[in-house]
Formats: sequence, structure tokens, C-alpha cells
Amino acid sequence: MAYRDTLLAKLQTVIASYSQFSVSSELPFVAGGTPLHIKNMKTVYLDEQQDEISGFIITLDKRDIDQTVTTIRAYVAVDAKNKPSQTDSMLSAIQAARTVIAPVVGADATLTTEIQDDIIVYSVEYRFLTI
Amino acid sequence: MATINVSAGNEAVLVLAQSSANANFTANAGLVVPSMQDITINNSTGVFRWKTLDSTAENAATTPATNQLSLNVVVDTAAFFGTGTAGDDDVKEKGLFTVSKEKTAVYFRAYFDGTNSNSKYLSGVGYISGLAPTVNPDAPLWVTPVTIEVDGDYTVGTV
Repeated sequence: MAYRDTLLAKLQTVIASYSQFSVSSELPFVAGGTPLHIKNMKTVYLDEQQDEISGFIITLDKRDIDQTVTTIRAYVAVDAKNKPSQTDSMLSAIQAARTVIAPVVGADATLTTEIQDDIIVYSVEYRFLTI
Repeated sequence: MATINVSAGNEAVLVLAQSSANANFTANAGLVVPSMQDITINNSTGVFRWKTLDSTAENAATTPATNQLSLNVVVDTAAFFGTGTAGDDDVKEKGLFTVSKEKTAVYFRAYFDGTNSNSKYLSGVGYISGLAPTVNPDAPLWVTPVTIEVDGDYTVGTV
């Protein structure tokens, strides 16, 4: 779980400069039927990392070389009726935090938005590729 | 009759060496090319065709073959640049790149089904060419094609 720890530490440092937001070290589990990131809006939650290992180069003498795709999702929710002014720049900072993971072949951060009733849920999917 | 399945335990093996004797895998002297992704053995004969007035179809005869081994490998430092160990077989000592650069003839044995007894192989002598190591950010491992331009004919053998 090293990537999550490193990324969480980076987010805690980065988000500290945004007074309207905070970072939780807890996982975004469901408490009382509601995910924590919806229950505690304006708090960034980082999910467990998922590793997918597959063959990158297959060789005849079985000296195969694997690639690992590590996926980690971050969640943060805000009130759609009263969106904090720092939201956009904070989301950019969350995406930029992907560079803390090194060395990797590729580091992507994809932001998606979902509206649930009067709550906007932002999720950032980090994808790290190592070989 | 039997198929040759390299996923069933044995594998295609290519040995390169300075002499025919060293190219024998059991001599444990030549360079066993590591991390081959694929290998193709070409025996491409030319064709001479002619037509006659009394025939409705062309006649054909084959002409001497162009023989060539082509493979793709992941670059291995010792195999590509050599072990540098005096006393090793020259191909092993100098590596694929230097042998290609110096245009030195190499003896080869291409085993079809591993090196155990009864495995078939093709042997011969040729020159390494076509090295083109490449790497990029999305595929950050050096890989290179290797071509062995065969000088003369193949010899079929059995381990």
C-alpha cells in the first residue's frame, strides 16, 4: 500500500493550503448507509489502491516482463448549491499530486463529476504504470 | 506426426558462436540468445518461370534460396554488449552489437523444441545484421530486431 501512503501524505500537504477543504486518512467506507465522503463534505478521501499485473513482454524463454497498473481513487463532495470558491483550484492540485509517485512509466489523474441530489461528488482516478 | 509446441515446457533456442562446435548447446560455450520474443526462419527460394507455346500454364523451377533468421529480442546487457571475458566464445565475449559491427561470421543452431534429445535444429553460418535497438516512454525497455543473413545452406540436425 505504499503508493496510497505516499499520495495521502502529498495530499495532506497540498490541501493544507486550501482552508475550505481537508484530507482524511480514513478510507471512504460506508457508515450508516452513506459513504464518508458524502457524509463529510469538503473532505478528501483516498480509497485503497488496486494493482493489476499483466504481461508486458512475453519471451520464449519465460523471462517475461510484467507491467503493473495501480489505481487509486480520491473522493471529495461539495454542496452543489453553495460550491466552495476554492473547489476548482483544489481539484487541480489533487490531480497534480500524481507526480509524487516516482519512478513510474506513466501517471494519469482523471477527474469525473457526479451529481447526487444537491451534492456534487468529484472523483479523481489515479493510474500509475510501472514495468 | 507431432506438432512442436513451445509453450509445453521446451522452447525455441538460438545459440550463436564462433565455431560450429561451440554453437552446439551442450558445449555450453556459445551465446544462448536470451529473451527472444519471436523467431522466424526463412528459406525463401527464388523462382524462374517460363512459358511454352504448347502449354496452357507456366513452367517453374526454383533457384537458390535466400536463407535468413529474423528475431526480436529484449536487449540484455551481456548478450548485446558482450561479457568482455577473455576466454569466452568470441560471440559471447563481444556481444551481438560488436559482432555485427565487425562483420564477423557466426555459427548458429536454432533448436525448434528445446535442447533435449530428439529435438530438431537447423544450423549454419551467417552474419548478424539489422540491429535497431529502440525504446520509448510507453515501452521503456530496449528491444531490437536481429537478422542473421545466412551464408549458404541450412543443415538439419537432431539432438
